[in-house]
Amino acid sequence: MRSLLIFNRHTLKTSVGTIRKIFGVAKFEHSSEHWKSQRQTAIIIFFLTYWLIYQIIFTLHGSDLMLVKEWLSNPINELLILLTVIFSLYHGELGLQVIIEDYIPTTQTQRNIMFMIRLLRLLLMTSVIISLMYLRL
Amino acid sequence: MSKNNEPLSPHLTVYKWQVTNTLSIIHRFSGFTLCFGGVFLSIWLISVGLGDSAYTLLVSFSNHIIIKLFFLALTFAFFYHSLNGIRHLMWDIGKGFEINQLKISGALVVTGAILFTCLFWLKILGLL
Repeated sequence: MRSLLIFNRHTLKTSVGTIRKIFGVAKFEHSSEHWKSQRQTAIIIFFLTYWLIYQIIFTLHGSDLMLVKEWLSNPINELLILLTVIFSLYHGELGLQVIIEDYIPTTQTQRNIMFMIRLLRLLLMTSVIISLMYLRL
Repeated sequence: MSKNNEPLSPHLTVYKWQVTNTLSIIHRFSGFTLCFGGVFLSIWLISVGLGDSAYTLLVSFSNHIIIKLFFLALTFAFFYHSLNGIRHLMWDIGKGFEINQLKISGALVVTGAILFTCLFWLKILGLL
């Protein structure tokens, strides 16, 4: 019976983990965790960013505010652009962590820089979410 | 402040320059550039929510020549990073490690990135 449930303990744990990471309440990831997250986000944003490039070429470039709002009023566009932003910024954070760990000598400095990057990422991410919600009002 | 016990990565100046490590460094550098692209994408969406004056300000800012050059670099970085990313994912599943395979895939990635960048801008500028 338990195996028939989609949200069994394992999948629930994984999705809660992903949400915690995205909203910045998880620890900085290390070794295999970091490796996995980096690949997962890479595969996700590969498709999302090529979708965005397609949209830029055929709809978005040179359009004024009204056209952009009209484009965003389509819930599919809104959802996909939101996912693009969230996963790209997270993938960027993971990448910057590697650069910092490679070239910054002390652990404390590494952490301080990582906290600043994470703060900036959460600021941008929440602002984008609020902005998109505001357009829906 | 405690010193980290892990060794630092050797800095770029100590390497002998070859095709493989050059492409690897460009991958990292393009990823770094793309972080700013992500910031710009976020700011663009925020400006849409803020309304007309913010959006107009962002558009006029984007029309500056330096920002346009940044966009050019950004598109090249994007196509390079995404194509080379496939190469990295192939290595992760254990494929493409032979020296001649590395050279061929590297050449394909660089050619593809330049080609896609040209096509993208030709399309944007309405020349295609």
